[in-house]
Amino acid sequence: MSGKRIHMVWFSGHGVGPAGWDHPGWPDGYRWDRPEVYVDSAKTLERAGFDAIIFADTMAIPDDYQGRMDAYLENAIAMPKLDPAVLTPMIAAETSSIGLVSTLTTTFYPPYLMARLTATLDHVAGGRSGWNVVTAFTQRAAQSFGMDRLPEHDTRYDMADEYLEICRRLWATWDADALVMDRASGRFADPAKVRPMEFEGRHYRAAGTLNVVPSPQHRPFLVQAGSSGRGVRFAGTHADLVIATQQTPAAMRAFRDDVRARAAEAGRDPDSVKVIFIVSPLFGLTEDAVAERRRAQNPRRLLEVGLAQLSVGLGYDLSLEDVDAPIDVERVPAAERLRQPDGTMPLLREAAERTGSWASLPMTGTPEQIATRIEEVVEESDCDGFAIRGRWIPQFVEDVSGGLMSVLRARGRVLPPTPGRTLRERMAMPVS
Amino acid sequence: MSTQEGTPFRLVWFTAYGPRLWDSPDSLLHDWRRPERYRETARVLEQRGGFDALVLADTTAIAHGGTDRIAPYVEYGLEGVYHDPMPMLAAVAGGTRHLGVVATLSTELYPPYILARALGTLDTLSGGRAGWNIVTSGGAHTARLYGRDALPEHDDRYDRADEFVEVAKRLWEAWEPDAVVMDRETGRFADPAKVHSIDFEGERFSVRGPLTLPRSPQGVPVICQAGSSPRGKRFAAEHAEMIIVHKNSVPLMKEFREDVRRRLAEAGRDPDSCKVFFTAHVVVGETRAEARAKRAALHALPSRTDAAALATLEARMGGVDLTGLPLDEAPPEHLWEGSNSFLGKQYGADGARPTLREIARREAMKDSFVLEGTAQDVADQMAAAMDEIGGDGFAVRDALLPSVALPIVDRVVPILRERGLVRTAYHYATMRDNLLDPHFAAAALKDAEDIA
Repeated sequence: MSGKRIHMVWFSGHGVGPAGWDHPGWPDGYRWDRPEVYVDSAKTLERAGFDAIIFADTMAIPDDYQGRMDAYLENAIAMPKLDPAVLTPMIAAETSSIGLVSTLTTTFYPPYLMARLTATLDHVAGGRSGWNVVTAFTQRAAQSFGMDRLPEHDTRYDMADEYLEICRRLWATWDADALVMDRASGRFADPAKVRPMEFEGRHYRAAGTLNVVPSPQHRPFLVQAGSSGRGVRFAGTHADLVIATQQTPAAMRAFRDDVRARAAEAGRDPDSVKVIFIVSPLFGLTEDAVAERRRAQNPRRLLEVGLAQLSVGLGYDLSLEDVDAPIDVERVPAAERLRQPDGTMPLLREAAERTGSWASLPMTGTPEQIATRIEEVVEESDCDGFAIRGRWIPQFVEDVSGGLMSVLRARGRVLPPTPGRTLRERMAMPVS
Repeated sequence: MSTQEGTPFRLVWFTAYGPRLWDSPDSLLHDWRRPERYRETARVLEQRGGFDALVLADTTAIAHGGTDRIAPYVEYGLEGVYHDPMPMLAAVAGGTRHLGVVATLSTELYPPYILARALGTLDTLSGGRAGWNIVTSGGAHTARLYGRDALPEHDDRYDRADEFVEVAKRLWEAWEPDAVVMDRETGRFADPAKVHSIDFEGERFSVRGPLTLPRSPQGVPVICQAGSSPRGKRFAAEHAEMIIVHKNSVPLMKEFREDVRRRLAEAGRDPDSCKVFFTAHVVVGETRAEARAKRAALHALPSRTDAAALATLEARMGGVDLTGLPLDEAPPEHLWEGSNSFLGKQYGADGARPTLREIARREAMKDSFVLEGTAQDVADQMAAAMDEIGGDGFAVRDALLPSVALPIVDRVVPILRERGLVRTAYHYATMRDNLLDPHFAAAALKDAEDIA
């Protein structure tokens, strides 16, 4: 079987942190706070044919559940998180093909700082750097930046549009061919190809010239993950890659069509934006066995972890809800996305215990079975690929790289490593 | 085994992530934009040179000179064409084991939470080797990049920096040292009773916290500072653990260091708790003639035009317009006056009045304090200067190119080591412990693995 190329991305949904630190797959402990585990895994993922690693990020320890940080600290849920923009250069220096995407929020970084940081990251990564553009969503994070409250959701995207416009204009202050570096004449750059920008918007203004020379991609590779209507419009306008969560191939197709339509509206070639979906494959029984063991050891803890995790996802304190009743979407509107294909809402307890895989398409089996399922879903949805919700546990990295990816490679669906190519170039290449 | 003859001193390398020496023949082998040569050369500084740190300077805006034009800076790759130091220092930290990595970051341009988190991450991932060179920023061009009409006046900026440092330190200390439990039996990661919001409400900042990451190995990164104004010196006396400063002569260095030590004592600190590094341009040759020729060749690089040199000087003088002034005469007298005059302080000692061309060329080469000659000469000059100054260290100020670093590391350092004057081993894991280690030099090479 052959067909269109499948893009495969490793999505570190917990960011740069210790998720899975007490998993038995770490017999000798897990130095999540040292670069080696990430660098070594990235080399394996690169060889296996992954296009990129995306590091999620947030700027606060959550306190949604019970209004306190306690459950999160006790159980290492959605925290701790190191700054991905500091880790990715360490990985970049020891790899040659894989893209490295840091999540950075427009809500808190001054735009010039961001344009400069992302352009520099692209230099250090030799054109393999990406920026996952997010707007912040927790009040607690805002309160570390002198704000009482975050702006409303749609206002945040209006602000982000202006913000991206400033960044684009700053990157464009140097033409792509402005750098001359002519040793004979001593001429470094052509001043006629370097011009200041000026922007005055409703939310931001900036004027001047970026002090970073054009990076290999000139405009860093942009990733977007918002799935609201406003988020999709933003993605269609700006993103090179969109990652999203949908439960069925039909929903995936509808979402992808929507993004592509938005891109066309923004005057872009729809093929220039790839749409991929987050999945959490379970290989064999290993993972179930772990969950089973935890349930047996401490059922209350498993439930609490799930509730605390889901409270972050929904931005709602689920300690106030009855765990044995279906989730009440009147009180928790964000839970709408947990609605099951049969139209009913799950019991809170069930949803909590499924946390991590909820709302995405289930995939279980051997590497061959999962590869086949992936090919089927691509056929049914026409999606561009998948973001594997990755954990840095060695066995999982091995199952995905040596198992699943080898099968997809053998079936001609993923690209081998492409040293020397930028991330944007790699994403546009066909398999052949 | 070495014997001590003189005043021991430390070495750091001081440069920026930028195109300096891009047109020197050695740069043919290295693309200054890529991390490889920084990583390789940094390893040499660490493994064979015993350097304490790599310090990356920074400026956020391209200089505009005295005529409000960026053209010369862009055309020759001069002042302000600098990339963000953090990603490069992260790449260097990932390729080294002992070398400190010090980032210049402005209290005027970063939100405290972002700065504290980035440096906390660098300190964590490097195993305790991060430093922060604290600068404040001024200038209309920088302000406009950040959507502001102007940045505060000099002394106000330091008041803000004081509050900024307080916020950052509280963020770095918001997780108690033993907050992380990681008990595999119970599955407990951290003790919530040992992680605190900081709820900081100051005049300028309101920050809730805590950081998303546990306390890093050093807790607070090594604090470095470079200001030499009275307010800057007061700031340094309160916060700094290392100072990097430029002085054109050894007597000025001695005077500066004594002043710093006096101010530290007045602030209730041990004067030895802050090390002063003086910048130096070092040129080593097989013979004195070869060293002289090497330096002349650098001055003769195609990019080193008079226009480039003049633009560099304008930037250093804070945007004074020097165009139209005769190159072969001394700059006019009013530019030498005033207690804060750059020319007066750096070039006007004992009423000296070098020509504009000479000053501009020396500034362009950053060689206003030069140690030049054979390896033996340079070692002797360093040792003699340090005996006079009283101690602490030199900051080699040049592009981090192998052709610049190797002669220093492989020819000068061994002579200094033989005399017991420079570091032979890193005895501690963190940058701070090594920097403040009184036994850093003249100690027996106990653990060859540490330095090999």
